[in-house]
Amino acid sequence: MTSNIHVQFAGVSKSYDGRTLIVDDLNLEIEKGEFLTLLGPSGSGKSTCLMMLAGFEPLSGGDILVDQVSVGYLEPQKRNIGMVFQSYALFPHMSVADNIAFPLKARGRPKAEIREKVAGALGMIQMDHMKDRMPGQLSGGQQQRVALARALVFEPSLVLMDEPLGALDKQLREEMQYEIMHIQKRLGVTVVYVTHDQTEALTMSDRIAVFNGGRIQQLARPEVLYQNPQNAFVASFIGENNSVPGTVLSLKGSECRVRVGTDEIMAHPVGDIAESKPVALSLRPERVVLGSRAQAADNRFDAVVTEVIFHGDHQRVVLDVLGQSGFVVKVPNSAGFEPPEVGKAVSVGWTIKDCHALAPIGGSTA
Amino acid sequence: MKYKQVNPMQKWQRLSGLLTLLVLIFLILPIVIIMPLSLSSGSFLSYPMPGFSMRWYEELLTNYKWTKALQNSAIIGISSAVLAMVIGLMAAIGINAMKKGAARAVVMGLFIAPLMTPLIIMAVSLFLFYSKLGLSGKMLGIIIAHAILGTPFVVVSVFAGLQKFDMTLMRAAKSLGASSWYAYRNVMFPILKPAVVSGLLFAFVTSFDEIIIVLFLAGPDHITLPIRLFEGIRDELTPVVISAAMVMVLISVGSMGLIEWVRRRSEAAKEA
Ligand SMILES: Nc1ncnc2c1ncn2[C@@H]1O[C@H](COP(=O)(O)OP(=O)(O)O)[C@@H](O)[C@H]1O
Ligand SMILES: [Mg+2]
Repeated sequence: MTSNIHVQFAGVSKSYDGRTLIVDDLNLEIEKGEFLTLLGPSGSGKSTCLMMLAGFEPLSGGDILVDQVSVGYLEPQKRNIGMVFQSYALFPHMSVADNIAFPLKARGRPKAEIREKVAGALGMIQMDHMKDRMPGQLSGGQQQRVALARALVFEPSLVLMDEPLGALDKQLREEMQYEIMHIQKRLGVTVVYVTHDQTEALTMSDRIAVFNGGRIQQLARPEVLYQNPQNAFVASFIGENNSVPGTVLSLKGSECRVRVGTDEIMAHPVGDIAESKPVALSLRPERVVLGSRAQAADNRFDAVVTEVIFHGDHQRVVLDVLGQSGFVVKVPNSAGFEPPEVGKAVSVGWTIKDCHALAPIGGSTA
Repeated sequence: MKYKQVNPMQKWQRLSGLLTLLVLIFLILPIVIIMPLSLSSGSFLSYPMPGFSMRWYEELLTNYKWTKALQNSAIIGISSAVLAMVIGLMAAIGINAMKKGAARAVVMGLFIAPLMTPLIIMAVSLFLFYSKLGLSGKMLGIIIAHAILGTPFVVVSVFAGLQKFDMTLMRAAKSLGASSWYAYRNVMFPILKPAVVSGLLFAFVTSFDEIIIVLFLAGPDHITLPIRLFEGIRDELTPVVISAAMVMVLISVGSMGLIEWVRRRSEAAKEA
């Protein structure tokens, strides 16, 4: 039976100085043809994981398997893994065509094959007319495309990308996101992608591994990650989020009662939650309703409006509620709804299942 | 009453400019004054010249004493510079890869040491050392000695080039399937070429007008151009000496010009 697992991190750990663990017991299975993103704040160990997979950093513990075979002792040049660097790493003394031909020449492929494949790769990135330019004469986006073509031209089945779009402006970045996605789906290659930009991760990935402190906080499809974050870190890192600290009073099935100051809130418990332990209540701004719409909600509280900002398709309303300030609600600009005025009292509400009771950041309940 | 606007700095700048000019004249004037004598049609090293001719250059290129010296200088200069390039390039890459710290500073210091050692001391110690090795009186001995002198130039120049070299390029090359050697040869070396070439030329020029070590180590067949020049001044004193000097000046100036050209071209390439 052939397995569908392409890459496996098995209990991988990494320390540069022999004391602090940068990657801590990482277990991760990546499927063939999958677009998997490592998402996390800067310094969380994402690049380190990629460098270990590429063969540039030795492991401190565990093993990495590609196609069920350990690659621990394989030199980088023997791994046949395509790689795109944030700095593009194009060879400045070679033309676009020579850059793309490099991996084929290094493998000693025949001239005719090199010519044909380079032409194909140039076509893929629509840069045939620039094949004789030097990298210094290209824009950031063009350099990025050349780097991509160079990493794909030798037909690796696995491609690693470390914040490849980090240096581009917003519009170009979005264009390139779609271009990379389309190329990846067309060629069917497995991509391990690193970014600290959650929007980019949500847009491009089949699955996302959220990293923090060298550990995977949650591994899931983008929509699951967004709607069912497993802990307070994931909730706050992915999308906008109101976080309200509280204490669990009672826990029953898929509902729990949480004390917040003098109020009690019904919430949906997620993960390691226990009675009388601290929790972080997580609420998406677009899942909270105001005014008359709050009448039917499971949880309902009185609030004071402190700020209203117009955002085109929605209004951003900031409230003082539950003894907290800065509680954000997104009110869609739907027909017939009047947003509240600053300084006025308003009632806010939400349903139980939209209010997640999560293990707080750093506070282990285990 | 009108005041004249005086910038006190300006006065100093003019003065230092004047001084610089005087020093330059002092340095160059002797060379400029004797230059025309190499074209004299007479046999004496004095003005006025009886007429112009190329006879002394002809003498230089046909008389065995001079052609042999030119040939020796070329062989020693080129081989020692190439040897210095290979050693210096490898040393610079190795030192650059070392962790910053005392060990690295010591190794770097050892490679730079020949720059600071008095030539006469190197000459004496090599003389004694070579007599044990059986290298004295052999051209190979001179080539090795000059390579030692030239290596620091290559190390310093390549090391400086490496500070600007992006090591990610080597990782990129390996991720694309290049062996270490392939990556060095096709990525690192071509990018370091300007630094390597200028180190090489400095090493060549150093060997080309070095005299003390050659005096100590050379056998009678290994007379180089500077030494031949010295002998010529003592026992011939015809304008052929000046034409030989002119050739030396030309080669030295030419090498320095080449170094500058390589440097400018690599700067320009970076901006493109
Ligand atoms: N070569 C290295 N030597 C020592 N420490 C390193 C090295 N590379 C990364 N680190 C450290 O490891 C941690 C994780 O780095 P990295 O994997 O680059 O994170 P990320 O890519 O998520 O921003 C950081 O604290 C960084 O300082
Ligand atoms: Mg990184």
